[in-house]
Amino acid sequence: MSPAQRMTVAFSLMGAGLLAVLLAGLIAWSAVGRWQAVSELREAQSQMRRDRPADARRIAAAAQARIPEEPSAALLACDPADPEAVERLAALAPRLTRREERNAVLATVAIARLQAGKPADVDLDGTGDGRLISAMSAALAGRTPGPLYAAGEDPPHLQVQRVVLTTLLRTAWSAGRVEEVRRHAGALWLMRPRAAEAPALRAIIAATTTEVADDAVVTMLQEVKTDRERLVAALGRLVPARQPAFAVRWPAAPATGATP
Amino acid sequence: MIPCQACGNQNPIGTRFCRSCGERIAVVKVDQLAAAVRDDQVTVASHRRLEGGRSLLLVGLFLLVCALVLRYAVVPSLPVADVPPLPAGELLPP
Repeated sequence: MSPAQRMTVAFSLMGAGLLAVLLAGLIAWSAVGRWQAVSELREAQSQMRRDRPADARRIAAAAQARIPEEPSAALLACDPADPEAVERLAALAPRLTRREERNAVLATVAIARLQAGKPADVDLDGTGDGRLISAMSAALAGRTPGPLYAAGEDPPHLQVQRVVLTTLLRTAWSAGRVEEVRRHAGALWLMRPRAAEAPALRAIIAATTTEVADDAVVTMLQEVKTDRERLVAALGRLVPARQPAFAVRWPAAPATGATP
Repeated sequence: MIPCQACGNQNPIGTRFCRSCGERIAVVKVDQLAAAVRDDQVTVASHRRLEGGRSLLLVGLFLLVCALVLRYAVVPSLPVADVPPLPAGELLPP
């Protein structure tokens, strides 16, 4: 090999080496950023579990700045009460290739839009979330939602079930449909039997079940720590047969007609 | 290098007899010697550059492998995207 050929090969090797170093640097930089984002997301999830959504969203927003195309960061960073944030999240959905990530984003967008009084307007057909959201949409529009059942489809997300069942319970209560109230309260209680609202849900189930004696219902209501007076008044209106028993134990709430 | 005028073998500068055929190396002129020295310098430099290029490529490939291991084996995977806790509102009707 002549010196000129050697120099050509040498410069080619140097170029390839420099390219490899540059590529390694870029990959390492992105890996470090991703690592920081994972730590921030875990911290955000921890804050969310401690019921500090504002802190969780702030931390998740920092993670989202590092990995803008990742739905796990975008979902945690999104404030459902902020319409612009919800629409930004909706814009992310068409770029997602994994079906489960797309479903999670669309379900969050649909719930946020329905809670803001807008149509859900998402394509979740053939998924458990889609069925639940259709039922919520019907209930909010004043129609009676059909029965909820799964049919070998993508299972609904827990948070979607919680929001939708709460909405269905509330709308059924407003319409005075006692059996539906009992069914939705039962489903909500089974989902989170240790949640803060569990004593209230147990009392609702008991009060709407004719086989349960008034004394047992009153005992369960005594276990409710928050907003008990409103619950007693609302239950008295939903199940008038229970009202005399409630009036004995809590004379103020039904007698004054406290607004639930 | 000094070429042997008998067999053409390239001999190091200062060699008096050809290392291939043993023929006496002819006395060279200064300009021929200078050219030979320049050729030597170019040859040595090209060898050094080649070695440098190989080393740089090896270092680059090593760093690339390290970066890939860091990215795909060391960095933990992202949490699964899930619907975040959403405000469900009150149980009781308004």
